[in-house]
This record gives sequence, C-alpha cells and structure tokens, in this order.
Amino acid sequence: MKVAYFPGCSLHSTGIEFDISVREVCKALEIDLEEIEGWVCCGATSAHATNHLLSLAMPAYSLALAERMDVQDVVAPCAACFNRLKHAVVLSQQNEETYNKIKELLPIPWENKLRVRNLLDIFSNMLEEISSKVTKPLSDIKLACYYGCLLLRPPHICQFDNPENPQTMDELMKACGAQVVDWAFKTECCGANLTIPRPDLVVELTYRILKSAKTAGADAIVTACPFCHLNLDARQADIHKTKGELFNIPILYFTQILGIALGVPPKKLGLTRHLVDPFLLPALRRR
Amino acid sequence: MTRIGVFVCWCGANIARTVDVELVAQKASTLPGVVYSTSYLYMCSDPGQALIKDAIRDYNLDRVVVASCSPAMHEPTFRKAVEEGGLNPYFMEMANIREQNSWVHDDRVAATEKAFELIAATVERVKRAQPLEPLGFSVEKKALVIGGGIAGIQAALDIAEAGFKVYLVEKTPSIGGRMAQFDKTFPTLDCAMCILSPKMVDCYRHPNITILSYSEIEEVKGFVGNFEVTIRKKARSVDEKLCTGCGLCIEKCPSKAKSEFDEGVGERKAIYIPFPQAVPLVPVIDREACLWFSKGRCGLCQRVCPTKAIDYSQQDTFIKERFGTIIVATGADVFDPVVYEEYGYGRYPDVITSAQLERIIDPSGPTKGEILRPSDGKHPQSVVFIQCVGSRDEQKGYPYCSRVCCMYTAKHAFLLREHLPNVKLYIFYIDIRAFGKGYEEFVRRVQDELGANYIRGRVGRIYPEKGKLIVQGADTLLGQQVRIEADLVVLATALVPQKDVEELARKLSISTDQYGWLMEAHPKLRPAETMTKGIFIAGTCQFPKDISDSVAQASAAASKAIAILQQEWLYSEPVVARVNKNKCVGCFACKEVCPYSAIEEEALVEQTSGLEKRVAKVNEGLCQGCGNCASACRSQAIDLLGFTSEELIAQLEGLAKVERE
Amino acid sequence: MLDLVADDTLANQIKEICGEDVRKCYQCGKCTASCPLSFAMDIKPNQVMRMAQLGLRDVLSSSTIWICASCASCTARCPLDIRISYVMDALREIALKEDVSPKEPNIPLFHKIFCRWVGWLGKLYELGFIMEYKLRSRQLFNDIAMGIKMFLRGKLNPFPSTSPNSEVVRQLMEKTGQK
Ligand SMILES: Cc1cc2nc3c(=O)[nH]c(=O)nc-3n(C[C@H](O)[C@H](O)[C@H](O)COP(=O)(O)OP(=O)(O)OC[C@H]3O[C@@H](n4cnc5c(N)ncnc54)[C@H](O)[C@@H]3O)c2cc1C
Ligand code: SF4
Ligand code: SF4
Repeated sequence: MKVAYFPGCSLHSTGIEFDISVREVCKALEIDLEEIEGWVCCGATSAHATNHLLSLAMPAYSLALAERMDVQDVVAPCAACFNRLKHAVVLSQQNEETYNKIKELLPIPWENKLRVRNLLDIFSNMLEEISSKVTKPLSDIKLACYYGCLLLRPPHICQFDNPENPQTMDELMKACGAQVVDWAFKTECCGANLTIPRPDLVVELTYRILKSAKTAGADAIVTACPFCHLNLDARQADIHKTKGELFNIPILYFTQILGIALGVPPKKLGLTRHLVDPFLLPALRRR
Repeated sequence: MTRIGVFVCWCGANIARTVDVELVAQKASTLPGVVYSTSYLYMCSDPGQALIKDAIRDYNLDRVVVASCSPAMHEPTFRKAVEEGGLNPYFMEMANIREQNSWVHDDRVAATEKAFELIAATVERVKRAQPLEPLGFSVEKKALVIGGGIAGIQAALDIAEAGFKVYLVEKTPSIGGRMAQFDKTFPTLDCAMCILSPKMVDCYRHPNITILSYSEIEEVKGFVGNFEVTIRKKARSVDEKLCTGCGLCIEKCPSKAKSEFDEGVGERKAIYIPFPQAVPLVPVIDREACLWFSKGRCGLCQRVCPTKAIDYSQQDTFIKERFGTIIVATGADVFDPVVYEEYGYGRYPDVITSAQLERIIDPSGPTKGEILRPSDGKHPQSVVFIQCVGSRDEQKGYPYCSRVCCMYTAKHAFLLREHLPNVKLYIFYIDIRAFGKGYEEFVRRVQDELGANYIRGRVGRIYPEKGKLIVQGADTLLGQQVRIEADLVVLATALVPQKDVEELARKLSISTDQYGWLMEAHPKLRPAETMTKGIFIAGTCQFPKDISDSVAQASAAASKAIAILQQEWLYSEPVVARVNKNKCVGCFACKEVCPYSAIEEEALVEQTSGLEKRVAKVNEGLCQGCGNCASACRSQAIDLLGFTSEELIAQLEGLAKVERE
Repeated sequence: MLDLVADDTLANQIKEICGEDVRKCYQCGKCTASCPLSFAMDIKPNQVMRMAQLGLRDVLSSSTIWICASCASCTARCPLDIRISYVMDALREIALKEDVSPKEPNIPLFHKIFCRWVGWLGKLYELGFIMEYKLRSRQLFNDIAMGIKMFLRGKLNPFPSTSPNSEVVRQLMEKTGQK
C-alpha cells in the first residue's frame, strides 16, 4: 500500500522519535510512505486560533500537492496535523462556499479528493495482519492508552473512533500482546501548546492525567501525538517540583510499542530520546 | 341555462383590506350565467348564510359560488346553507380569495383582479357540477383498543361502560403498561398499584371486554364502521383456560433471564409472570431462555403443573374480527442512554436510568424496595440526578422536552429521602417544568422540606474513582465547574416513540411525526383523533404526557369512539373515485398509487366481444378522494366525483377566458 | 449595574467567521462542565456564549478566549451541536483584529511568533521560534533545564529546515490578512 506521508513540523524536531518509529513500523508492515514533496506546516493551533481561513488554506495546500501523487490516502501521524488536514477536507465538503474561498487562495488546483487518515485508523483496519506479524509480544506490561483531543474531537471533523471511549489504540496494543488498563482520562486534554506560555496550567492538566493512569495501574502511557507526548513526558519534572509527586512514568508512542512487538530492534525506535527513560521498565529492559 | 349566484366575503378586513370586494361583486354579475352577485362582511355568519338561502329563493338560483376563505375552513358551512336553501349541496363551489390571494399579496389592484379571475374560473366549474349524494355504511358495534397501559385500560372501560364490546390487545403478557412499574405517582404520591390494579381487574371481569394479551396487530383492512383486523396471538406455551395462576411452574423453573418489567435490574425465570398483580395471571414461556426450547431437555414445568396447562406445542394463532372503531394507546419507550458515553451508562453499574430506579424503589421490585446500588448492594450516601438525558438535545437525543422527567425526578428525590433520611441529593437541571396542578408546590417541597440540592447546569462527564463516581458538572448560577462524589447516578431519560410504532401506523394508515409520535388530526382542536376516520389515539403514543393527561385523552378518544358506535349508519363525503368500466383497460396503474388500498379488481364480460376482462373498482368506503388514481390512469377511465376532469378543465378555461387589461 | 442594550453585532461577526450561531445556546452549562480549563478561566464557556448572545464586547478581553486549548470537549458534548471551540477561535480573531488588549498577552504573542516563523520558512523551526518567544515574553529562564535535556536527546533540531514552498505560505498569510 502506498500512501502520501505528511510528517508535519514536530516530527522533524520534538517528535523525532515518532517519525523514526513510524517509518520503521510502516516498513515492517509494507506500507510505503511517500513524503509529500514541498509540504508546508499545517498551521497548528496558532493559525486556527487567529485566522480561520488561513487555518484551512495551509493544510489544503499540502493536500493539493499530494493530489499530484499516485495515492488515495494521506497519512498524518501527528494528531494535530491530522486534525487540521481533516478540518480542511470536511469543512470544504460540508460547505461549498468555504471550499471556493480556499480554492481561490491556493496557487495550484485542489480537488479535495484525498482521504486523510491517521495511523491508528490504518492499523486498526489491519489488526489480523499485525497480530500475525507480532514476533515479540509484550505480555508483561500494562499500558494506559492516551488518545488526547485532536484525534477524536471535534467528532464531526475527525470521524474517527468513539470520541468519549475510544478503543482503537487499546485494540492495537492488545494485538501487540500488551495489557491495557481501563482508565478515565484517556481523552482529557493535556493543554497542548499552552505548555510554553502557561506551563503552570499544563502542569495541572498533565498531573491529573498521570495520576489517573498511575492509579489505574499503568506501567507506561502510550500516545499518538507529539504535543501530548511532550507534555506528559517533559512536565513530570515540574510536577515533581510543584506537587511533590514523582511519577516517572515512561511515555511512549504507540508506534514504538508496535515496533518492539514486530521485532524492530529498540534502538531503531528512538527509545533513548524520551526524558523519562523507558528502560526503567523491566519489560523493556530485558529486550 | 344555469342561474348562478356569487357571494363575495369581506372576511372583516382580512379580504377587504387588499381586495375591492364591492368592485369584484359588481364585475362578477357580468359573467355569463351569473344572475345575482353581492358582497358581505362575514359570509360564514348567520346573516351571511341567510343571504345565500334568501337569494336562492328570490332569484331562483341553481348554482352558488362563495368567494371567501379556503374550503378547508368553511366548505361544510356553505354546503349546508345551500342544502337548506333547497339545492343539492354539491352545487356550491368556493373560490379561495383569502389564503390564495389577500393574505399573500399587497398590491390592491392586482389582488382585486386576481379575485375576479378566481371567481370567473369557479363559475365555469360550478356550471358542470353534478348532484352528489352522501355515501352510507353500516357500523360494526365493537371497538378495538391497541395497547393495555393506563390509557388503553381507561378507554376500554369507558367504551364497555357505554354498552359496547371492546377487544383490548396488549403486546406483553400483562396489561398495566408503565404505570404498573411505579411505586408511587407524582404529585400526590398515590400508590400506583392501588389505583391501577382495580382498573385492570375491572377490565378482566367486564362482560364487554375481551383481553388479548401477548398479542399483536397483524393486519388492518376496511374503514370506519367496518375495520377488519387480524390479530396475532403469540404462542404463550401455557393454556390460558386451564392455568389457575398457582405459580408452581415458575418456582421450579431452573433457567433465568433479565426481567424486562424490572428494566434489567432484576431477574425472572424462563416461565414467568411479569409482576404479581398481572392481568391475566397466566405465565408465559420465554422460548429463548427456556431449556426445553433451546436445548430440548428439562420439561420441569410441564411435570409440576397440576392442571396440565403447559403446552410446548402451541403455535401463534390468528384471530380475525370486525370493528367499528379503533383506539391506539401503545404508549412510549424510554430513551437508551448508552449514546451518552460521557455518562458511562452500561460501563459503570451505578449509573442507572430513572425507570430502573422506579423498580429499585418498588417494594415488590428486585430489591424489595430497599435502595441498594447495583455494584455492591450498599445504600448510597450521595445520589446525583441528571435531567434532560435524551431530551432537549439535538446532538445525541431529541430536541423536544419529555414533559414528565422534571416531575418524576422530584418524585424520586422525595422517595429516596423517605427511604434514606441522610442521603445527599443533587439534581442537575436546565429548567424545571412543573406545569400541572400541584406540581410546582411538589417540587418546592422537595427543594425546601426534603433538602434536595437543585443545581442549575448539566453534567459534562462521569468517571469512577476509588469506588465512587465523580460527577463533573457545572453550576451556572455559581458560574463554576463543580465536582460531586456520588454513589449512584440516575439519568432522567427521555420518553421516545415505541420502536415498532411506525410499522403499526403503516398498518393502520395513520401518520407519525418526524420523531415517530402518532399524529393527531389537529394539535389544539382534535387532539384525540387521527386523520383517518374512526381511528383515535390516547396517551403517550401521541407525545409524552403524565398519567392525568393520558387518562383524559383516553376518555376523549373513547367518547369519540362511542359517538361512532352509537350510529346505525355512517355517511361520508361522496368525493370518491369512479371508474368508467368501458374505458378501463385493466392495467391497474391506479392500484399501485392508491395509498388506501381502495382499488379492487372486478371481472367483467364485455358486451360487444363477449370476452371477459378485469377492470378496476373503487371501494367507496376506503376511498379518501385523494385523486392519485385519476391522475395515474392512462386511459382516463377514472374521475373523482366533485373534481371531474370536465369540471377542472372548465375551471381552467374559465381562467383563460378572462379578459385582462 | 449593567445597562443592558442587546446588540447582535458580535453574534453576527462570529457567525460570519466560523458559521456558528451563538443565539442557539440555551445555557445548560455542559460546555463549562466539560472544559478541562474552566478552573483557570475568568469567564466560563457558557458565560462566554451568554455574553456573545447579548453582544457584551468585554468578552473579547477575557482570559478565557486565550486560555481555551481548543480541545473541543465542549463541542463534542454541546446538546445543541454548537461548536463552541470555533466560537472561541472567532472571538480570538475578532479580538486581534480590533486590537483588544489581551488579558493573557503571552498566548497571542506565542501564536503571532509561531505564524511569523512559519511564514518565513513554510515550516516551524521549533528552536528558533521558542527562543524568540522566550526573549520577547521575558520568560528566558523558564524551562531552561527541560530545554537542555531535550536538546541533548536530539529532540530540538539546531538547524532550521525550510519548505521550498515557503513563499506560498507567505502569500496565503498576506491574502488572508494575517497580522
Ligand atoms: C420513569 C418514569 C416515571 C413516571 N412517573 C410518573 C408519575 O409518577 N406520575 C405520572 O402521572 N406519570 C408518570 N410517568 C408517565 C407515565 O408513565 C405515562 O403517562 C403513562 O404510563 C402513559 O400511559 P400509556 O397507557 O399511554 O402508555 P404505557 O403505560 O406506556 O402503556 C402502553 C401499553 O401498550 C403496549 N403496547 C406497545 N406497543 C404495542 C403494540 N404494538 N401492540 C399492542 N400493545 C402495545 C405496551 O406494552 C404497554 O402495555 C412516568 C414515566 C416514566 C418513564
Ligand atoms: S453546552 Fe452548548 S447549549 Fe450548553 S451552555 Fe454550552 S454552548 Fe450553550
Ligand atoms: S475547546 Fe476551549 S472552551 Fe472548549 S472545552 Fe476545550 S478548552 Fe474549554
């Protein structure tokens, strides 16, 4: 299967290990990722928070570039990019006027004919194949699957999984042999980019999430978004400082777990790049 | 030559404001065939009608045109006036110069011209009018009531008391409906069973009432006065005549299933009576749960039954009966809140619905009336109620207000306080709708005397934490997000249409609204009637309502039904389709398009050729005069009486002939 | 006391930008109940809707419109299907356009610098952007330990990468009136 790949800015920087593991896993599953040539930033929160039209035109431009490729699907692993690309697609489908406005802004034609998907969506549709390729199941680890906001909400845009009680990542992790915990904060917001201007708020939000996962008995939290990852991983030190509670819960990308299960050597999955060391977990250390 | 009178109505200022009625009347007098024409302030008033009658006499009129409002408003009025004036009532036609003219136009000159044109066209039409006689039918003096809730019970009793036979058809094994599930009713806190069960027993004993429980409507044919109904009596596996209701079979049955009557909170056996006061008091075997039917072994009930009433070989049977009139009282369902994933119903056992709480409160319910929460069977210390679950919600439920939830939630708070003096009660509401007699006073009492905390706001989500449910809500009066630790959460779910109601409505040829509620003929003036003559509706099948309103509507429907049953003959409008047998080629395109199944097939021997052919025939009792067949007929063999092609073409020609400046 | 003169200019502006009709809101409060950041907001989401309904422009200088993280918890649950998170976006857009002085100045500053960097390079150069933001918001020493750790783990790319189509982004910004 060949798909157009939209890595997004974070995957080339703070989320580099997401990019690395995505590529490894896709290689193992024979998904041919072809990076969209000349893609531009999706605009992220800052564009839609300040300029509605711009926030749709930017992702639409990258989608228009992808239409020149021989593909039907555009894959954006980053939840934020997925969300913005989907916004451009769905809002244009639902409103002719919006579509026309965007088309007029773009320097190249855009037919809005590609399907935007996230990786969980793709993987959850090939669970059987994945199960059969799992060579190193992780049976001795308990994971809390954290979906965050942007993969699921707003539901009329994302049209993916159950927005209040999603299951795709849980199913995927189970296919990797891992145990998953049922917990109450899998879709609560981590504060996203407030982490820079208002770290105090993000400490508050991530504290609740980490606390809930820990209470539920999770050894690690699995995410699908570089923002979520950053906040949950990097803010544990601040939480320790302000709340006096040291979690030390490793935060992993679901592609890293999947990679391990598929037999990709851990060092090729960027596991050393996290702030909370995943090798704290006996289950991972042994590999 | 015809002698036509034209009567132009002012309708106060409704028409006269935009139409120069006097000028129109004057111009109308010049139309060919018109011998008299006038205008008057209110044609429908007594003096207005007298004007018509006098003119018929004084000017020897044989046709009348009234130019006024829509025929839907006053056609019967003027037909009657013309008849009293000595003419066939169908020699009167109306020109609608109000709804189709004065109300929708501003330009007085143009509107005046249009009024005249409409009259000119109608004058041409009325010239071709044929005298018609109303159609008469005999009446089957027996009523069918579908649904044995409080509304159906009340309607059946009213009709039986008036001296007519009634069949009461109930889908479940017992009559009683939702009310049978309650311990107490708001706002008076009457014991529900104490007032309901005497009525159920009355139904059972009444010589005029036949109860068909565990039965459903299979097919409905015919029309007012002569409905022909097939009822499916589902196999009960117990012979109703032999069973004495001793209950030994139930005691011995080894297989269990969730009790529908207890809303899934409790269990029942595979052979069961839904509740102790059931009518009829005859068990039924749930064949899915029964070991005999599912595994082919057991047979305990048959062995222990002292009267040999258990009959595994029973099949569904069909009963065909004729009825003069039908009342539908199939009630409502409650909304399934699983779609509110944020409230975790179905995932967290201590999030329950109000209907489930009714069963937990009921002394004859699964917990014997002890308030125990499902997860661990403990008394809750803190209970949160959430109103409007599924109501007033365009995203996950229905936009309407379900009318009873505010009140039954107040009732629940009251009853919980009675059982658990120290329980903390929180009720999230958006608005409180306590519109009935004594209702507001009741809610006030629950608030101040019983100390229930009413919180204005909705709940965002619920999640478990350390054996409690954390309710994350908003108090909009405080302007704060609030968090409450609860032991039990009760969702006041909406009332929604029964799942099978659309199918039933189709069988009865009655309509439902956009949600699936049965449609009344007029929301204000004909609330218990449907658009199909002889079929009435009562209770929550029409829209959510409380018991008082359900009973009131049931008595209203019964009195309408009795009014039909009392007639020897019924007369109907002669506006029906008629087939010209000579022209009919037997293609039966008409049959396809008739929504009332009024077209029948008839064999006919053609006179000239001696060959037999099949032609269409209209059942005049069923025909509602919609005219679909007439427009579908390719050989122009069908005419609608009162709307014949000749009349309509003349009307159009009349319009074309008007000379325009 | 508030001298109340209802004015639908604001409601119409919001509708024009994002298509949402704030007049539909019946003030149930489910948005406020659902919002993970309610606790930090000076005006709660349902109150934002109320002020927008009545046209009270003070809402534009609330902390709420900037603190909102666009998580859309409110939107997913609003019983009237109002996309409150889009209303928040629209209010921010109006506040910027009208130069309303923000109660949380650092957040709009963050967005502005973000968009500028993306405008230059077509992509975000995270390190450069964060450095500029830290300088301009005078939060230089905040998060420094975390930044160093991230740098050492190769999570902060020291070199900017550019999209060959950065010019297109610049033009899009110009055409849509991005400040
Ligand atoms: C939790 C709850 C608490 C309530 N508490 C109160 C209260 O305290 N006081 C009050 O005044 N009101 C109360 N109500 C409202 C009350 O339930 C209704 O007003 C009343 O039950 C309506 O009676 P009904 O006969 O129209 O319908 P139902 O009681 O629903 O009866 C309808 C009957 O028709 C049968 N039926 C359905 N479909 C078919 C079919 N196709 N063929 C044959 N039979 C069929 C059903 O099995 C049922 O027996 C409450 C409602 C709820 C949900
Ligand atoms: S949830 Fe929707 S209807 Fe309720 S207060 Fe918020 S915006 Fe208004
Ligand atoms: S989108 Fe904004 S207002 Fe809505 S819930 Fe999230 S943070 Fe709160």
